[in-house]
Amino acid sequence: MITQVSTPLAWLHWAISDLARSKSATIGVMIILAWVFVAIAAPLISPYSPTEMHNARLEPPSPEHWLGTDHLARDVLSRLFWGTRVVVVLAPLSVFLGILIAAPLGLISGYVGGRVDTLIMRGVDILLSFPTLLIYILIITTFGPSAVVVIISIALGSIPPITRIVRSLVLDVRTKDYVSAARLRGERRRYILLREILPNVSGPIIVDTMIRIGYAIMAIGALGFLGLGIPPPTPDWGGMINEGRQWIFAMPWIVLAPAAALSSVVIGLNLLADGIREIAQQR
Amino acid sequence: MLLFLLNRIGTMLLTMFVISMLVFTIAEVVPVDPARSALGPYAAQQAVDELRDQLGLDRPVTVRYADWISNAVRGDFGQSIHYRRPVNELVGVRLGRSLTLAALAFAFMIPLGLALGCIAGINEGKLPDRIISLMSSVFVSVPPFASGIFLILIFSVWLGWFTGVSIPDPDASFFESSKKLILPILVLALDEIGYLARMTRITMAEVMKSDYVRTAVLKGIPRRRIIWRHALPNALMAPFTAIMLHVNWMIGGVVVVEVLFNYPGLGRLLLDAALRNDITLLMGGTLVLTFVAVATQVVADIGLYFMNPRVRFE
Amino acid sequence: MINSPKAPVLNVEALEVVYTTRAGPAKAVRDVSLEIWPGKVLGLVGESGCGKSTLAFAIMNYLTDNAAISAGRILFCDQDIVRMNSRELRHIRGNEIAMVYQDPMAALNPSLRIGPQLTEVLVEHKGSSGVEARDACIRMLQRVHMPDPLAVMERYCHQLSGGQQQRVLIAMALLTNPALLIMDEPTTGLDVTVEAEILDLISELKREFDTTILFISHSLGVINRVADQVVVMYAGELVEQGSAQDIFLDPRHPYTAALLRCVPKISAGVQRTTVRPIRGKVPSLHATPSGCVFESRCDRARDRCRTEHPEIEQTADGHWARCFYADSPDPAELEALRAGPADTRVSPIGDAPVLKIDGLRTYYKAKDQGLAGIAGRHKQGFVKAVDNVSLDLGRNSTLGIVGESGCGKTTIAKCVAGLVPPNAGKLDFIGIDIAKVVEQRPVEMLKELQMIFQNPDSTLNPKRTVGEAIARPLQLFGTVPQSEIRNEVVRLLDAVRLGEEYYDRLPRQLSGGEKQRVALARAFAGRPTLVLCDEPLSSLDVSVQAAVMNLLQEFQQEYGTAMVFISHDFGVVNQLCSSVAVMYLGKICETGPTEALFKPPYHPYTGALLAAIPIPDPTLERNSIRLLGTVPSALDPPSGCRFHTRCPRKIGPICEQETPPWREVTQEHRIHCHIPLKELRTVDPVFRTEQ
Repeated sequence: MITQVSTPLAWLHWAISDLARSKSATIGVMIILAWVFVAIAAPLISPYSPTEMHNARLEPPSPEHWLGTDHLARDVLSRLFWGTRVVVVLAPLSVFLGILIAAPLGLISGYVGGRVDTLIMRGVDILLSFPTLLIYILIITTFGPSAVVVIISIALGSIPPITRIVRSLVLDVRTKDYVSAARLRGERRRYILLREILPNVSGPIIVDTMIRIGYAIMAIGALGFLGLGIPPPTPDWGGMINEGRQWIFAMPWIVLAPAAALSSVVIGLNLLADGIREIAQQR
Repeated sequence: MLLFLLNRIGTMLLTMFVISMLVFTIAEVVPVDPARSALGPYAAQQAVDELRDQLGLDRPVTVRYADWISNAVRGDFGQSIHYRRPVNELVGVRLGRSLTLAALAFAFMIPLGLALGCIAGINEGKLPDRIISLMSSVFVSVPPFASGIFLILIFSVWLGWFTGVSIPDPDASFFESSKKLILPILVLALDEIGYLARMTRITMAEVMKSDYVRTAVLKGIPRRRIIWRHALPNALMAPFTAIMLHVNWMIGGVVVVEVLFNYPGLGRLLLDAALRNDITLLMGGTLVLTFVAVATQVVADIGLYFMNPRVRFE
Repeated sequence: MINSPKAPVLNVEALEVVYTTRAGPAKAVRDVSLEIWPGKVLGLVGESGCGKSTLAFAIMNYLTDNAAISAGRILFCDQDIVRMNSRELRHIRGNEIAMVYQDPMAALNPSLRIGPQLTEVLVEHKGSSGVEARDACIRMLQRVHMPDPLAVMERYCHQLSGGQQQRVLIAMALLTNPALLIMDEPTTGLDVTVEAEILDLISELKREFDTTILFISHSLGVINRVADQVVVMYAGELVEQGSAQDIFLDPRHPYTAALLRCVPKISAGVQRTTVRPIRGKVPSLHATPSGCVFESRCDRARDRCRTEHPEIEQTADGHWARCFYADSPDPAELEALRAGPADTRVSPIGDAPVLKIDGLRTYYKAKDQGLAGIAGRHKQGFVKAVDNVSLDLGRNSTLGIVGESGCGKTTIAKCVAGLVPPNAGKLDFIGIDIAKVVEQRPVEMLKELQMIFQNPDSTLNPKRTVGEAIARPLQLFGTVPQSEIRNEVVRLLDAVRLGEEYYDRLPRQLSGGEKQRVALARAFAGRPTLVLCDEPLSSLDVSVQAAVMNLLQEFQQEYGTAMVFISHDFGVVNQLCSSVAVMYLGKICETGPTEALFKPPYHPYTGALLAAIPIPDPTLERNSIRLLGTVPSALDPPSGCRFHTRCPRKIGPICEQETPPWREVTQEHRIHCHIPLKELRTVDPVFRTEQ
């Protein structure tokens, strides 16, 4: 059996057939793709505008409003669909931003070692012992709630753990003999980092990214829930739960729908991460 | 060994120092004038200036930091702008309540999480493992504010067993007040149980496949003794460490749960302070909460050091 | 326990073990029948993957979840172990049949003290009280010559050395005086000198307690040392069975004969033979060939071997072999086995040294303790990995560096390669000063110095194809024009007997031996002046090892390359090297031409090492010199001569106080010892059968 990965298409083919081998990965991918579809198609599939106010407030589910209306008489289903966009865009964006900063830090810290490493890791350790949610609260209080501030604060919060994971992976790969062989050939440091080390740490980083996007979604939800998220009237699942909370006894669907939606996305991501890990182990 | 202790405590002090600087810096950047926000938008500028002078807000940054930190070390975090009361008083009461909540959640989730993880790990690949793994995957994935909603819907709205709020009532009986805490504790614990069970499952499964467990089996030792005496002590170390280092994550959960159940703990106090721009309270509370988190980690670290013979004798 | 000495202790009948894998069922053990007689040691030998360990664990009825005994019986005292329930099994395990394992460190529980791990066996099986059990365990530890048994009972396993851990496991196995002791590679991974001690212990137990042992090993030499009867396994089948004499001197199965030819010999000192690798690969266990399992690799194979499966049958001289032509061995084969001297080593050209090492010192910082370490508060400890080493290497010659693990031999290679900076000393390579890390060396010399590493699993980048791995140095060094690179890679692949079809394969599709071949091609691609080999053969099976060894020699001859060859295996060193340096605790104790090393005069440490090597030759008589104690820490090495704490020939306080002088036997042969040359010369040689 010779695997020849030559074109992106072939790579995609391999990725799909690999993922199909794991049940949890398949289910995870399906859940995620479903929500991505909802996010893209929100204008088409939503029955109403998410901010349009109808006649009746706090209406139970009906043929016109499948999930009823909220306290401002807005259609809950439409808000749910549009709210997907916040999650699908903000969470990955913040994690990628975090990786963009943390991955080089981790690579350098792990490969160069010495004082640079000590310095970076001290900083990381200090930030890690700082409760994450407090970081978010402090940053958002300082700069006021907005999508950009939410992205930045979540990205900042994810830098220390990602740096640490990348570094530990690099420390392991660095001692491999193929890295020594590259040094003996006189390869440049950049080549060693990018061509010899990075490809061999990317697998676990991808798995970690999945889990971390899940955390980011939870964090965005929590911030919305605490009233520190995307400012209204933009539909946001956490914010919907926050606003609908006081009517939970009478109108549970207003909070149930976003809570369930949010949980399902995170479950999908965790299933995918588990699946990728499983496939990697089988190899 | 003394070196180890000094090292840990030194690290803790360094961490607290850096964090206090961070907190102070952030408070500096906040575009809010504490004097103005204390007196309200309609106060005369002269009164505001007087208060600024009184609070020493016009002194250089370094002087104010030194002042603030030296007072903080002595337990004086100044006056809350909103409540007009000393921060340490406010924080003290609330911290006690939050710690009670967290401690109860810990007491509930550690045995349960470890037990579930062990059962799954011992039966790797079999039915109990699949059920527990699925459950813990779901628990890990559902954020506390969502699981709180689900539990309130099930137990308060549907079954009517518990109330959805947990405001402590000084007159209520012990039974009554502990009943109010059940749902918040459950929400806090669920999240961590999933995490803990998953960790424990992995290490337990690994240990059950280890050479020394094989040695024990081939020595003819009964299975019960193998699990309790040979496997567990080796399998529990890693998850226990992990959960202690997960305290930071749990603090987030505490804030959410306190808000969700209207429980007047430190988390809610801090959130309100943030929403009301009560900077002195936010700074003091953050510092205290962080100290608790860092200290817990250090204590856990030292505890583990003495538990693990391999580290102890190095 | 044993009713009559006439009956075997254990009787395995037509055993078959099947693993369920993703590629379908794999028969790891096929139709294996054997008997183990009381008081005898049955040696089971075979290369990795032949099913030896599976067989051992099947006897304990302890298989992984994906394995099952699909046919056959295992009779122990007329009871079939295969059919026992868990209570009966528990009674047998550790009580009637006990086991000793490979990797003793992993086999002991890290968080329990040694005491309870031992006593629980007696409490469980003999119902002893705690005090009784404790006394019995201490007595048993004394019997296995464990120093200070009382203290050992209170220790954790990581506080013991590898040899001591294995002694604990042997004591644990003997506590209940079992009818059968199974030893699965008990000395693999231990240093030769420790291995020799453990093997001595096993021989002693056999003599004094009449223990019945099933001894499993991949090493023919080790089996020769302990076994009365020998069984050879290949691809899950038993291919030959007989007395140790029969198997090692008159093998009838072509596999056994081929295996013996793969072992580089050092018997009778200077004698040298060509090693002849076995071609091809072990057949997949998924598809059992209809004919003989060895047919595809056998020189004797005829048509009948392809279609018909041979049964194991008695040979003319009374032992058993699974071959149609067991009684008509190829005379050439036998002759090759009986060793005609054939010097395959490449002889040095000219006198100008390629590499000069002068007074090299490399210290590692001992692990520092966090904050205090950073503040530089506490005293820094140094591991003196290499301490004042001087060596020369001529063009096209090969220098072997031998010694036990932790003696600093790998550090020397890393220093020369520039992976570790030296602390002091001169390194001169073809006239260039290379006493610095590789990044600071002149770019032009990089291609002249390459390295082959020990671990085949980490030597190749898992994400690069074989072709890319070999092409990269060609490209970087401009060895051939850009357009010729692919052809050159294919030529190199052919040269290492892999062929063009390997060009696009990824490392995970290769076996360990194949990976080392690619690493070899990569190292030689730029036609270097010097190649450093850091134990490149140690993780390979003997037959694969022989093939790679031959390739190394071919390449060396073609390119005229000099080599530094690090090894713990004297046989391999004897085969490949023109000169040898023996190292102990960071220092060189003897250096000289290879031939000179095998007969006196030699350093007492060299003598002990030679005496410890297991050699698969029952006729060989050897002096048994054993070392005392364990290797001291390199953090705080002994004063004077570093070997004095373990030296069997220590002459007095001078050894503890003064660094020994260099004693020159010839210009090349030098010994670092206080004992005068005259005395060193008169020592009883290790190999008594001089030619």
